[in-house]
Amino acid sequence: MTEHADQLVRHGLDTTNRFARKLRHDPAAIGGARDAHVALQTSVGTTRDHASAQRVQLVSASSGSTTDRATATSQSLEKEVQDLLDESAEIEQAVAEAAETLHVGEIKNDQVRDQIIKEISASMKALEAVKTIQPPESRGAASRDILMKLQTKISRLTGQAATFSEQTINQLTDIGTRLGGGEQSTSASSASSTKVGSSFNSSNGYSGGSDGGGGGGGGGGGGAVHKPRLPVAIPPQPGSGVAINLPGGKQVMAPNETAAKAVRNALSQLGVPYVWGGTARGVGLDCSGLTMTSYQDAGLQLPRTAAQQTVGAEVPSIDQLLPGDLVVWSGHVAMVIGDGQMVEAGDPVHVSTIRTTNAGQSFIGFYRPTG
Amino acid sequence: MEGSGFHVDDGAYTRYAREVDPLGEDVKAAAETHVGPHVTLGGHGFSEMGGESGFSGAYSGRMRALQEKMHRVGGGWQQVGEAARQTDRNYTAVEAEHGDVVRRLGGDLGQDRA
Repeated sequence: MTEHADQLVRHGLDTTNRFARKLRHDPAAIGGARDAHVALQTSVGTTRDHASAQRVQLVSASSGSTTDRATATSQSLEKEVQDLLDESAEIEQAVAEAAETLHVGEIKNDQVRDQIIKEISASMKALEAVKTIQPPESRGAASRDILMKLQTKISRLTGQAATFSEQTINQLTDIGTRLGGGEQSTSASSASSTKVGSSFNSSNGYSGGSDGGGGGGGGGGGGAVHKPRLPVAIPPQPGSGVAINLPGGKQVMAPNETAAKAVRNALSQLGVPYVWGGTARGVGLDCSGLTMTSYQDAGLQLPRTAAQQTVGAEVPSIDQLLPGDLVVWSGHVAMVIGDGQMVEAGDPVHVSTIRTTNAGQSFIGFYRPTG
Repeated sequence: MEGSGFHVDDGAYTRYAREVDPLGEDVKAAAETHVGPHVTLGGHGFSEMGGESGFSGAYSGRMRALQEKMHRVGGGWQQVGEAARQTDRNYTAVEAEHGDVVRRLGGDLGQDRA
């Protein structure tokens, strides 16, 4: 086997193998989580029904304002129990959708992987057949032709796998965003908890069913796309800043040395191919991989994904952007380089005019990681 | 108790308290059994992609919030049980007070007759 053929065989499956690792999930754990929600809904549903039956029983055994207060309190708590059941069903549905998305993603990736193996196998047989071609001088050209075609097919199939992976992660992002949004809306209702007095027949011990007061709820989480509350970036003082020479020859000023280094680092990657999930500088980068590694090499660590790179300070308007600032969408990020331009990992890494639109994604904002 | 615009069967609130008492513990136990162990998934969970997409974080956040709410609602039912018992004690105290007044009035009337 020639070195070229050897390379193709060795690395032809690298991308699909990497995607397979990223898609590897735990169906048993996911199934366990779904089953737990089903069990929860059965158990808590019984609690709600029992509470309701006892309220009806109390009404048949008593009447008057004390009973009214007791039943109003019970009904308010029964409503909260129903909200718990609805929330459990919503989470269960999201888990089911995510599991299905991962399963389909795996199948598609496996299909592409199998197709690549078939193509490599067919090409190896064709290379064997080349050895019988006469005259022998024409064998070299025939082999090269087979390998070129194989390389083209592998590239096309790898591109398909990347597309499938991107679809999978986009679908997961959508499901997660809906789930995270649900947390925000239900945490608002969680603030209106039922207040229970010390008794139902004492005017000073009872404070009524539910009210809208109280603080915020809902802890933890994150990961879903949202706009964080950050301080507003302070414009640089006259005379400060660090100079950067742009590819077009123009000189711009970054607000500090870290931002200037990040911009220089990002510009050094112009022409590097787009690779989904890529963080290998000079080899293959995705959008957040470009910004993360550029800042990393400048001494500042950014989160890994685009939507998480909403860090530092918020830049309130496009006219206040400075080199090193990030333009962040729900699934994409670019770095401002100055002179109305930004650098981003498309395919390949390139410079473009600053914009706030990006196909199919919502714009989150402008951010200055160096604050 | 029968009177001006309301009635309460004897022991109605005590019976209600007895029935409602376990509900709080039921809801809290459901949170511990069915939510707590699944806030984060074992093994590969929702996969690396699940993490990078933000889904895993959103899921864990919702599960934690659900667990907290279940504990709060469970506490609410326990308070209802306590309030029902106190309600019954208040009725008993009022009944006793009324009985004392009636007995005193009866005594006074007896003295007047004498």
